[in-house]
Amino acid sequence: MKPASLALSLAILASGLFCVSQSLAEQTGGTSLAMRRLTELQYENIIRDAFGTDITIGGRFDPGMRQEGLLEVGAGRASISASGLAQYVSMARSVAAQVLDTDHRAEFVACTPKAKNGPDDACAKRFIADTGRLLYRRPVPDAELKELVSGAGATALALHDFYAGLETTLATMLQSPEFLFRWEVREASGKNKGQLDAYSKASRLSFFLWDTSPDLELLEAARKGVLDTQSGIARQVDRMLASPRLEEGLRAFFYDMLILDTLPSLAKDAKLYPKFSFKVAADAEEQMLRTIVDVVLTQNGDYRDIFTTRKTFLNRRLGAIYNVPIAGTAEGGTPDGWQPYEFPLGDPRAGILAEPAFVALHSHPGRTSPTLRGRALREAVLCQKVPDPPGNVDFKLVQDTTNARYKTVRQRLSAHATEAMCTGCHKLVDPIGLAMENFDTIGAFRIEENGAAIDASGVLDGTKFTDAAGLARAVHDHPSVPACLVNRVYAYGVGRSPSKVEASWLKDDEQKAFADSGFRIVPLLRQIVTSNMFFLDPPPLDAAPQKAGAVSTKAASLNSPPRS
Amino acid sequence: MGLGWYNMRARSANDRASLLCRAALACSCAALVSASASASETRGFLISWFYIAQYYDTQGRDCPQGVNPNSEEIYRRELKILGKSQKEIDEYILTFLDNGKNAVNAPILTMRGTRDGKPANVYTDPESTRDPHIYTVVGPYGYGFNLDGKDKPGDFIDPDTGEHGVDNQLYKASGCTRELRPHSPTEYAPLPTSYWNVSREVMPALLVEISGIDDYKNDDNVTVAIYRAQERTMLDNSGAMLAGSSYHVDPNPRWHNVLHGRIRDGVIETDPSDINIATDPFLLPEYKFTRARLRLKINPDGTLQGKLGGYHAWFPFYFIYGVAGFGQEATTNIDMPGLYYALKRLADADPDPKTGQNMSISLAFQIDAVPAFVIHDNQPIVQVSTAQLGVTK
Repeated sequence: MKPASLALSLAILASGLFCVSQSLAEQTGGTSLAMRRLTELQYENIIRDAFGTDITIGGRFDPGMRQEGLLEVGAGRASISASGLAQYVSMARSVAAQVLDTDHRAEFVACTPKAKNGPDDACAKRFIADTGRLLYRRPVPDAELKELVSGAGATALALHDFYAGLETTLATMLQSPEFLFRWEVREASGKNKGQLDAYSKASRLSFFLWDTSPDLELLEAARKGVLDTQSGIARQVDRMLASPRLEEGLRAFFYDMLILDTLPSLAKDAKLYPKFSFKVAADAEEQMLRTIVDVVLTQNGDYRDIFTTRKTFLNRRLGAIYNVPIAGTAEGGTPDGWQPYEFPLGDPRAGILAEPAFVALHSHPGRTSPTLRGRALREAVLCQKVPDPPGNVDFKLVQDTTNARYKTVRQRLSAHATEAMCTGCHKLVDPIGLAMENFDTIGAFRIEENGAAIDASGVLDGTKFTDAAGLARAVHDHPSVPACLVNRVYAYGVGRSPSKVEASWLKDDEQKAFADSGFRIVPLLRQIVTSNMFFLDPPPLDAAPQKAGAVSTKAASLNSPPRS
Repeated sequence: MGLGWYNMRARSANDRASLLCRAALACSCAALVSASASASETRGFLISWFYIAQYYDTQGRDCPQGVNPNSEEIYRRELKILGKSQKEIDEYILTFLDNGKNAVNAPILTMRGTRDGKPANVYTDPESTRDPHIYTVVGPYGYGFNLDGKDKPGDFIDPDTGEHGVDNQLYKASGCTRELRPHSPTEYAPLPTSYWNVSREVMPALLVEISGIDDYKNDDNVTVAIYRAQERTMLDNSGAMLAGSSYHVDPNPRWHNVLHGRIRDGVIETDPSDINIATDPFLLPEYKFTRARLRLKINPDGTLQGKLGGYHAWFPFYFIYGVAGFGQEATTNIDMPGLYYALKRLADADPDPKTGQNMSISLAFQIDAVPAFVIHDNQPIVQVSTAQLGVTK
C-alpha cells in the first residue's frame, strides 16, 4: 500500500470509529460503551464461520496488548497501527476475492443477479445485509446498507461485473471498524436501562463462550428480544455450553490467561538446545491446551487438577524432549500425531507447570529462570503482581552459568539475592521457581546442572515441597488459584478488570459457587453469564447481584451440560 | 552427561512397577556403561550415519602416490587418447561444466569407449575402455574385520581394534578417490555425506535395537536387530537426527535383521549373518550384506557407534555412481571406468563358477546412531517418564 493511500485509510478508519460510535448510539438509542479490537483468532473464527474453512486469510496481525493480565482487557485499549491497517486491507481484499470467485459465489450469494455484467441492487442488498449481519454482529444500519448497496452498484457499473461490485463492497466491510472492533452499546432507557443492548449481549456471550461472533440463532434471539430476559439468556447459554464450540472458547481463554500468545516468538539457543524449534513451540501450546481441555471439559473435572494431572498429550517432537516413546503416530508417521500420555504416580511431570509451554516459555534462550517462572506463576495463576526489577540491577552473577563457584542457578540466585534491592522480590518468586529446576530451558528433565545435583525444594506461601510435583500440589491447594480463575474469567468476559462491586460479588458469591461445584468450569461460566452483573457495564454502585433466574449454584452444577 | 534411553515394554500394567525399578537401575548403567544391570534391558537407536568406513591416515600412508586425478585431469588425459589437439582439449576443459554446451561436450567423453569397432558408452559399458588403473589404498590401516580368518598380504590393520588381516577391499578400491575419502580426521567423505544428507530425509529411518542386555560390560547372550522404520527420520534444529524420537518397526520381515551377539569389555559383537538394509535409490535401494557382523559400542552420552563388516556384490558400488554418467564423473571427480576396474579387480569373494571372477567384495560400513525409541506394533508400550531414568545435563 502506498503511504498516501495508507494515510487516507487511517484517516477513514479514525473517522469511521467516531461515526460508528455515533451511528450505533443513534441506531440503538443507547450509549456506545466500549470497543475491543478483534484478536487474531477471533478474526479467523469469524471468517471461518461466515465463509467456511477453505477461505484463507494470511497476513499478520498487530500484536495484542496485555493489560491486567489479559489480552482481552488490553483489546479494549488497543488501536490499529499503520502496518496493521495495511494488513487488514490486504486480508480484506484477499478474503473478498475468494468469497466472490467463481468457485464460491454461488454458496454465499443466495440470489441470481439480473445480469452478471451490471448492478442489481436488490440482489446486492440481500448479500450485504445477510453477510453484514454476521460480520458486524448486528443488522447493518439502514443508512450504511444503502451506501454499501450504492457502492456495489457503482463498481458493478464501472467494471461491468456484478460480482466485482460485491467483492469491493465486502472488502470495504471487512476493513470497517464495525467488523474489526467489538462494539458494546448500553440501553439508555426502558426496562433494561443500563444493561448492554441485545446485540451487545449476544456478542459478549458468543466471544466469551465460543471466541467468535454470534451464530444466526443467537442473533435471531437478540432480534426477537429473547436476550432481554434472564430465562431467555439462560436458554441460549445452555445451548452454547452444550456446543462443541465451547472448547474453542475455553482454549481461547486459557491461551490468554497463560500468556501463550508469546510462544510463537520463543527462541532457544540452537547450539545448546537443538531439539527446540518453532514447531516445538507450537506443539507446546497445543499440548497445554489439550491438557487443560481434557481436565476441565472432557473430564468435567476440578480446575485445580490442571496443575497436578499426570495425563497429557504428546507427539513425536515433544516425545523427544520428554524422552519417552510415542506409539501410534498418525498415518505416515507424521510428527503431528497426538497421543494421550499418562505419567506414572509420583512422576515429577505433574500438570501444566511442568509442560514446556510454561517452563520453556518462562526461561531464557540458553538457561532457565526460576525468577521468570516464579513470577509467571504468581501473576498468571495466582493473580498477584510482582514488581519489575529496578533498572540498575547487576545480573552478571545470575547470568554466568560457567561460574565454577556457583554451579546451579539456586547458588547463583542465592548470591545475587543478597543484594538488598533484590531480596524482596526474589523471596516472592525464587522459592517456587526453583522447584521447576529439574526442567531445563526447553522443558527436558534433568537432575544436574553443571555437574551439581539440583535441589528442587521450595516453599509457596508457607507450604513446603521438595520438587515440582510438590509445587504442583501446593498450587492445586492454594486458595488464590480458584479465586484468580474466577476473576480472570469475569475480566475476560467483560473486557476489563472487575469493579469494586463486581470484585466483592465475585468473592462472596462466585468463588463460593465455584468451590461448591467442585471447581468445575462449565458451571462457573454458566453462573457468571446468567448473572445480571455480566451485562451491566459498568455496574452501578448499588447493583444488587442476582443469580440467574431460579438457577442456584448447586443447580448450575447439576444441570451443567454433560461432557463426553 | 548421562542419558538413559530405553524402550520400556511390558506384557501388562502389572509389569510397570518392576520396569520402573529396572529403569531406575538402568539409569546408572547408562551413565557408566560398564556397570552391571539387574535385569535384561533393551536399547533403541536411530542410525544417523551409514556408509563405507573410510580411514583418514594423518601420515598419508594410505595413498602414498597421492589421490586420483580430478575430472579436469581425467578429461585432459582421455581427450589426448582420443586424439584431440591441445587447442581442442583446452577449449573442452573450459566448457565441460557448462550445462548449455552439455549436448555437445557430454557425448565426446561418454562415448570414449569402443565396442565392436564403434564408439561405446563407458559408463554403461566400462569395459569398452581400458583400465586406467586408478590409485588404490595401500594401507596399512583400514577399518573392518578379518572376515576370512587369514592375515594376507594387503590386508589392513584396524586402527581401533588393532586386529590384523582386516578384509576391506571396498575401502581399498575407493579410498584414494578424493570425493570418496575424508578430507580431515573429523569428517566423513564429502560425496557420501551429501548423498546421505539428502537421502536421510526421504527414506524410512534405520533402527538398531539391542536387547537382552544383562551386563553392559560382559554378556554372552544379547540380540542386536537392525530394522527399517515405518516413519522417516526426524531432524533437530541443527539438522542432526533427533535424539529421543520414536519409530515403529516396519512389519515386513524382509527388513528384520535379528542377530545373536555378545558383549566383551563393553563392545557388542554379533555372529556372521546376512543383513538386508533398505535405504534409498540415491544411495542404494537395498544393501544385501553376506557373512556380515557388527561391532558396536554404546558411548557414555548414549549414542552408538560401530562397524558393519561383511561382503556385498561389488557391481552396485560402481552402479550408484556410474549410472549418472558424464554429469556425475564431471562434477564428482570419480574416474568411472577406473572405479569399475578397481572394484572388479579387488573383489575377493564368491567367484563366478564359469569365469572365476569374484562377484563380492569385502567391506566395512560405519554406523553412528543416536538414542531413539523403537516401537513394535505387537507389543504395548509402558508409558514411563525418563524423568525416572535420570536424564542429566
